Amino acid sequence: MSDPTVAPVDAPPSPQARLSHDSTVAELVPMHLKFLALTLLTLGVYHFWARTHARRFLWSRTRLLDEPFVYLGRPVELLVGFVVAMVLVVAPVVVLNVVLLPQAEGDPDAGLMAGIAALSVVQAIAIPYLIFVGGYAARRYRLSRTAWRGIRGRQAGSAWTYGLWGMLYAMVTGVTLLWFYPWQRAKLARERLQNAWFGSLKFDCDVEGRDLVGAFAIMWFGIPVLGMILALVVGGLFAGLVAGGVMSGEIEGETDLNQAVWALQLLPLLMYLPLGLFYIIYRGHELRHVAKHTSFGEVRFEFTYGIWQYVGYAVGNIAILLLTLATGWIYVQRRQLKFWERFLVVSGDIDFAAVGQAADTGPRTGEGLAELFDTGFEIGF
Amino acid sequence: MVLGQYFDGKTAQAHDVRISFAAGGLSISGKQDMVGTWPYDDLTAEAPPSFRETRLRCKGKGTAAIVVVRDADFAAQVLAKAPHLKRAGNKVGGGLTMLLGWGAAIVVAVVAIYFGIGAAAGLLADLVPPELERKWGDAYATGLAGESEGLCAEPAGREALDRLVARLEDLAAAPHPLDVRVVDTNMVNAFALPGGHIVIFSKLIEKADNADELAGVLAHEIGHVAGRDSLRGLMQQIGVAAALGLVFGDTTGVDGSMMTQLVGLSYSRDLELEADRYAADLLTRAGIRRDGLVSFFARLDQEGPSTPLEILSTHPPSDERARLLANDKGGGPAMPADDWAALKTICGQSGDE
Repeated sequence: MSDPTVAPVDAPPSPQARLSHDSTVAELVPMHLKFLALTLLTLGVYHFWARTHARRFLWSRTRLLDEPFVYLGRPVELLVGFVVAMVLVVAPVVVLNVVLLPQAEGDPDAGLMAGIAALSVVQAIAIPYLIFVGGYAARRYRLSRTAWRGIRGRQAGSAWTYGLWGMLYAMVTGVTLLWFYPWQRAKLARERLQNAWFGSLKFDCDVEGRDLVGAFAIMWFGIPVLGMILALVVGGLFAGLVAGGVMSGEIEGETDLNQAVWALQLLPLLMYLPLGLFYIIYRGHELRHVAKHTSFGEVRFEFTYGIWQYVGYAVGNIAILLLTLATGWIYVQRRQLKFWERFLVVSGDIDFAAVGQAADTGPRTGEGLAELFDTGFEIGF
Repeated sequence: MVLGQYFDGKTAQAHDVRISFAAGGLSISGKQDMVGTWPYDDLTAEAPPSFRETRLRCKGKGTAAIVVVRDADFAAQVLAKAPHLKRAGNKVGGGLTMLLGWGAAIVVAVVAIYFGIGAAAGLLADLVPPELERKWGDAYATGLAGESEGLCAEPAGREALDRLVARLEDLAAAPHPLDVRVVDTNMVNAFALPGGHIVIFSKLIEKADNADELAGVLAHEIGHVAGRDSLRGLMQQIGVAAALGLVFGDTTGVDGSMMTQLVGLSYSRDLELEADRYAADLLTRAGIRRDGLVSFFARLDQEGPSTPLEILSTHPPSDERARLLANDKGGGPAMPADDWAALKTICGQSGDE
């Protein structure tokens, strides 16, 4: 039965090999419906099974140098991770807001007030801190459960330290009118990528704040400028309409005018438009820079998208999530992989014989904090 | 025997191997060393074997090791030895009946959860001891209508209001002693907080044409107190937020908060009708005309919506309310004209604007 002419799996990697992904939306629709139905029927417990099945499927359809990724995680690991995070984080918040605070209104005493003060601090500082920590720890879990050519990924470094840096940088960003932001992002990207491994082969990243500062400047100046233009145009249009209505007699009396004034209060909502647009543009630039400064042995990465292609991609993702009431995450994950397939150039060779498996098999449970705060990123630099 | 590739899970290198079907399992052997035998029952895969490519792993053999074979006959043979691989990857079928089935399951689940939360909120509210509800309510009331400058308490008006409250409270059998406060705010509104607190905004008294209208509003709010509706609403909100959080993983986003509000609104429409029913009964027993609430809202509606969000407000459909509260049981005025005049000046200013 043997066929000696079967093509070898290990064709030499092409100099500009890209990532490929070949799932179709038609395959995902039944998965989406099944996941949603079972998640609802189990009051959310199935969510962790859905996540795991989706990853197994999507990973197996994603190939680098013609070898697919393998997802090794198990649903129960996500479930346990979530329960632990829930108990650690949500319990104090509930105790504070539902039990202690109302009680203190009735009879304040010193011990109670101390407890409230402590828990309030937890709420104000620990939660943003844990968002950083959770994001990093989730990365560690996901990489440890992702194998390629029989070798597992790995995220070294301390999530707690990463969280401390994250908080510190965020504070500096706050006091520098946000101008530290590119450095914050670059430092954290370096921290993540310099600690990422594929077996015994380490990723490296040398992106600097100055690489991102141009993109940041566009955002910093762009948001208020576009915001003011929008406010002037829409405000002017609105004022014109109202004036026209008053003159033609269509708007009369206090009530109609009140309504008009009410509509005017919705004007600040327009600010979300430039805010979102310029943030997406910034993220598009940032991803390109970070990828360009990331290496993996002899391997280099480059994204070839134009910025408006990235904007279209990001807006499409948001639209999918809004239209599916956030249940359509599986389509967004597929879109990300297709986006990478289309635009990510991976070049350079790897000496596979020199890449060994690491002894570390990763954390036993995963992603609790990240699930809790929905840090959102699944795959990425 | 076929030729294939083997990733041993020790390095990323692919090794050439020969694979044959032995009695105990798949026998894999390479140039230098024997790899071993993978029992058929322990074989796993991310996708069923296909003529193009079969990728197999083995439970417990160092989880990441993989054997890859590109041979159609091999795929057929391995499927015969390990039929469970047919379902590898748990791919969901995409037939029309399957899709409709999952769609139906989603609808059933949503309906069940909707009514489940409503029922559970009622049960949970019953479990909360009245003293605890009172404490929560006190905290709210102090926050919303504390002893600040906004509280209206001109003695004559206050006494008139107290007489009306006492008249209704005697018949109400509410679970908490009533505490009715008037707050000087330029909005037409009144609401019940947990624990028997009722807050009326001064603008509502100003807009009311007569005491019957105010009595209607008051009786309606007492209905909320009697039903412990604020508590129930709170429980429902927590339930909806928890359900959305579990299902969608996000309640902080736009979707989450919008849906929580919309679902909450549909629950509270039921509670509003219930409070109307209660008010109708209470007013009749107190011997007060019961169409005050209807005429009050009818007039407000005529003046037009005060906010763009009014469409979403929790008022029950007005024809249903009108039917419930039609003045078919007679009854007299809610208070003497002197009292009403005094009440109009409870915030200190003149009542006829």
